[in-house]
Amino acid sequence: MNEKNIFCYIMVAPALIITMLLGIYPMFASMFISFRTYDLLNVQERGSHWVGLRNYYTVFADERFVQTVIQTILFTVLAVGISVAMGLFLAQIINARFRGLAVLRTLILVPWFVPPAIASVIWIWLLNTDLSPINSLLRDMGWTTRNIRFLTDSSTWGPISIPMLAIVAVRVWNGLPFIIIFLLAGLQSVPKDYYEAAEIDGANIVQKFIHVTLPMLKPVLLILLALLFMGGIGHFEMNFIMTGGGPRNLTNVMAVYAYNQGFLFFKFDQAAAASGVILMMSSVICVFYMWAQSRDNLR
Amino acid sequence: MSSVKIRNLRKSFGSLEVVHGVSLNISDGEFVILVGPSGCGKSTLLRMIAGLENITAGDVIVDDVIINKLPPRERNIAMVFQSYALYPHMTVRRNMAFSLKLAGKDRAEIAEKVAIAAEVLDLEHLLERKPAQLSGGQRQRVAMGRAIVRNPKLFLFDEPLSNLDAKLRVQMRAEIKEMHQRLKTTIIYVTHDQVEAMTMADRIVVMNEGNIEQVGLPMELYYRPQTLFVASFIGSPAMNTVEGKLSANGLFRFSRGAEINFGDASPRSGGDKDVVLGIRPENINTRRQGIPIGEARIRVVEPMGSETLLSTSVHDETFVFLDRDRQEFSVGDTRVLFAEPTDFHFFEKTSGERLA
Repeated sequence: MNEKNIFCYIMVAPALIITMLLGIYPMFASMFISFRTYDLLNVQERGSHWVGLRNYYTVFADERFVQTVIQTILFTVLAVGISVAMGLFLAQIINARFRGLAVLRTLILVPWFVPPAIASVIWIWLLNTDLSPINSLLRDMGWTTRNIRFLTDSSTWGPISIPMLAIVAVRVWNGLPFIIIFLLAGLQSVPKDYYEAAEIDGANIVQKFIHVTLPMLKPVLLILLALLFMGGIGHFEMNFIMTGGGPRNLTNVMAVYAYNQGFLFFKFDQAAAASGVILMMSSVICVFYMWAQSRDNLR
Repeated sequence: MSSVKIRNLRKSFGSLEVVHGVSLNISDGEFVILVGPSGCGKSTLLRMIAGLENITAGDVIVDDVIINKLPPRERNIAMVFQSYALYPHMTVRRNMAFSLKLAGKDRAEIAEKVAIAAEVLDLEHLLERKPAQLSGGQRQRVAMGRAIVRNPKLFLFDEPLSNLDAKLRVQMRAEIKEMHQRLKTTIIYVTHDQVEAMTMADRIVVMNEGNIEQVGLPMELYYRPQTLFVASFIGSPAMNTVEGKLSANGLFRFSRGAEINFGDASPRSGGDKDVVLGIRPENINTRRQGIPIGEARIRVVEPMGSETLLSTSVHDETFVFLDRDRQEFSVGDTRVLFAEPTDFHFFEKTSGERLA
C-alpha cells in the first residue's frame, strides 16, 4: 500500500465508518433479529432464540401484512407513475423559453423546500373533511354536494381508496420537483440537432417526444425510476403522519406496518421480518439500478 | 427537383440584424455553395430555407410557392448537419428509414428505398450498426443516405465535411459531387472552406457580414473578384494586397514611395485614387514576364514538392509568391518579381469595389 492509497483510505474512512455504524450494522442486526424471537414484553423471561423463518411465516400469515405489501406496491407504482409522467411533461415546459418562465419554475419547485413531515401536516389540514378549502372550492363550483372525506373515507374500488389516492397526490406534489430537476438535466443534455433533424425528417411534436426525447432520456429515466421505486418501497412518513395506515388499514405500507409491530406492539421479531421483506424488494430494484448504471457507463 | 427564389430575406435576433436583405435565384438542379467566414450569416440563411429559423422579413419561394410559414416537415427538404445528428439509439437502417416511416410509407417501399440508398453510398454492410460504431466518414455517408431516401425537393448541407480529417474531406467532396451528378437534385451547401466551394459548386455565393458579396461561377470569382473581400477570400494561398495611390496615367505608388508603372494596363476608371492592388501568389513569376513589381528579399521558404511557397518583402510590404519552376531558394536571396498586366486586380480602398 503506497502513500497515495493510504491518504485515499483516510479520506473515505469517516464516510465509511458512519455508513457502517448507521446503515450496514442496523441492517444486519435487524436481519439477525428477524430469524429469532424478540418480543420486548417477555424477552426478559423467555429470552431470544433462533427460529429460522418462523417470523416470516407469521407476518405473511397476517392478512393485514399481505394487504400492506400489495398497497405498498400500488402506492409506489401510482406515485412514481404519475409523478414521472407529470415530470416529463413539466420538464419539457420548463425547458422551453417563454415569458414568465422564472415565475413558473419557482412555483413548480416550491414543494421541494417543504420536508415530507411538514408537507404531511399541511395536507392533513388541507384535506380535513370539514375544514378543507378544497372541499369548499369543489362545493362552490358545484362539482360536489357533500364534503369528500379525503383521509377517512373507507369505501374501496378493489385495493384503491380515496385516502390512498389522497396520499399518492401529496407524495406526487412533494416529490415532483426532484423529478423535474432530474429530467430537466437529462433534457438539457440532448443536443438540439436531434430535434432539428427530426423536424426535417417530418416529425411532429409527439413524434419528436417518442422518437427523440424518450430514447435520449432512457438512461436518466432508468436511474430515476430505480431511485424512486427504492424510495417508494421504503416510504414511511407521509402514510404514518397523515393516516397512520388507516382507515381499515387501507393506507398502510410496509414501513408503517414494521414500525407499528415494533414500537406499538413491541414485537421486534415480526417488525424485523417485515423490514426484511422491504429489504429484499429494494435489493431487487437496487440490482436493477446497478445493472442500468453499469450498462450506461459501458456505452 | 426544384428552383428556389430568395427575395430580400432578413433575419434579426432581437435588435441585431444578421442577414440584411439577401436575394438569390437558384435554378432547378443547381449545386449552389454559400461560402464566407464564420458569422457571415450563411448558416442562418440556410436554416431559414430549412424552416429551422423564423424569417424576419422577405420570402423563400420554392417552385413558385412561398414557404415562409411552413414548418420544416411540410417543406419536403432534406438536410445534412455538421454534427450529422444521427439518432444514436437507432441503427443505420432505422436512421435512414425514419423519415419514410413518419411519412407512413409501407414496409416494402421503405426497405426498397433504404436498400437503394445504401447501395449508392456503399453502406449495405453497415445497416445494422449504431452510429457510435461508425467512423466519421461512414456517419457522414449515413447522414447523406438519410437525406436521399426521401427523394426531397431540395438538399441542404450545413458544413457537412468540417468534422472530417483532410484526406477524408477530399474523398467526400468527390462523393457529394458525384451524388449530385447522379440525382440532379438542387443542392444548397454551406461551408467556410473556399476550396470546397471552388471544387464542388456550379455557382458560388460569397457572403460577408450578412450580405452577398458576389455570386458567380467558381472561375469567375477567381479571375474577376468584384470586391476586395472576395479577392482575398477566394484562392489559396490568399491574394497579396498592397495599399497605395493610383494616378491617372497608370502609376501605382506604394505608401513607402516605390512605384509600379501599369501604363495602359491600369483600370480606366482610375485617376488619383487610394486603391488596393491585388496579385495572386501563383501569378507572380521570376522569369521576367510582364510588369516588374520590385525586388523581393526572401524571408521564409516553404517547399511543398510540386511548388514552393515563399514569403518575401517587396518595398517593405509582404508578398507571398508561389514558385512552380522548381527553383532553388535560400532565405536572404533577392529576386525581382514580375506579373502579367492582366493578373493585377485594383480595388477602391474605401468601398472595396473592383475598379474596371
